[in-house]
Amino acid sequence: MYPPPLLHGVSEEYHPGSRQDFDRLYRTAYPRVFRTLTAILADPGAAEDCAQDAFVQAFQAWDRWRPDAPAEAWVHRIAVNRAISYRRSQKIRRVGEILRRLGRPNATVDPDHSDLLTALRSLPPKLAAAIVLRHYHGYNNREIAAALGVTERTIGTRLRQAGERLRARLEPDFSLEPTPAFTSDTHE
Amino acid sequence: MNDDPLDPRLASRLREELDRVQPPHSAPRYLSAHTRPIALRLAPAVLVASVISMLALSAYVATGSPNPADWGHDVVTIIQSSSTTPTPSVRPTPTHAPEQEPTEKPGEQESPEPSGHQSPEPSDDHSGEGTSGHDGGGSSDGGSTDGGSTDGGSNDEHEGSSSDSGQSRRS
Repeated sequence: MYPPPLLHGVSEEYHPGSRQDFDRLYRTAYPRVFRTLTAILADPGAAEDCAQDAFVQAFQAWDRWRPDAPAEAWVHRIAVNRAISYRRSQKIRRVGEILRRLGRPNATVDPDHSDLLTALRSLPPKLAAAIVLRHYHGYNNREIAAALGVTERTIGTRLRQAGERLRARLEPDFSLEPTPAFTSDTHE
Repeated sequence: MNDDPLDPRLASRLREELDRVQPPHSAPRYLSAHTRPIALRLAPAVLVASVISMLALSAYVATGSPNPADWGHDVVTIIQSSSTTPTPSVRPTPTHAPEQEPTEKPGEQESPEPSGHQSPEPSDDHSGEGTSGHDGGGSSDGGSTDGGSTDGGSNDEHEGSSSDSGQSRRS
């Protein structure tokens, strides 16, 4: 299920400042943005919060959106930046939790029991976003570069690093059947 | 350079797992958040308008004129009048002024006595009867034709008494 390419004619359907066009953008892009953030963030509630905040921020800047940039890539960029900020804040918060839980058994379990998503969430958010945009949304490197605001070469490097890390993490027990999950904060 | 090192099975499994993720059916937050920026944009304009109206109202109350040109004119006249009478600013500038004051003060204190000898008016001031009494006395003296000499004698007596009283005060 690959979406239509980002850069071919999609952005021409939206007009900056148009409320109806933004509503349509929300209906089209929100589920995809939410799935991207679900792959980056361990908490579905946090993914929803970041996705909603990204659309709020996009709506406030909708007048200034330039039609030469793909609207969905623009929203993806805002959302990924939100997720990165959230992950940073969670890291700081997690340090405090680890210090409080010293000496106690670790009860943190990934709720969706997916080793693949857990391994994906253990990657840095920029690498995880590149993997999801490429292998789930089907964007090419140029479209991912436009979405994340970096060069295509950077995207190539991130995809390679992300693939190597995922393979190293999943190869010992990699199989097509879902396996019991492990904690998501082992490599962060 | 291979940019896609991900295993195809892993990629297909990623798609399957993310397809199973269903976004929650929550209301878009941008629908409720779009009213805040408008209010925030209008807030500075409302603040400026209220400040201007308060200034205009206070100027109207102070000047009593609804014409803004009068407000500026009144302000200029007030500033000019305050700048023409800079009594506090003149005092500290001359350094020799305190030295002159003691020399002038004895003269001023002694000047009523010679003038008191020449004219009877300062003596009335020293008697403490007030200026109204002085004016009334002068006019009555000039107006009374019958007892002019006696009035003059009485004035001489007043002079003597005033000088005596002045000497007695010094002693």
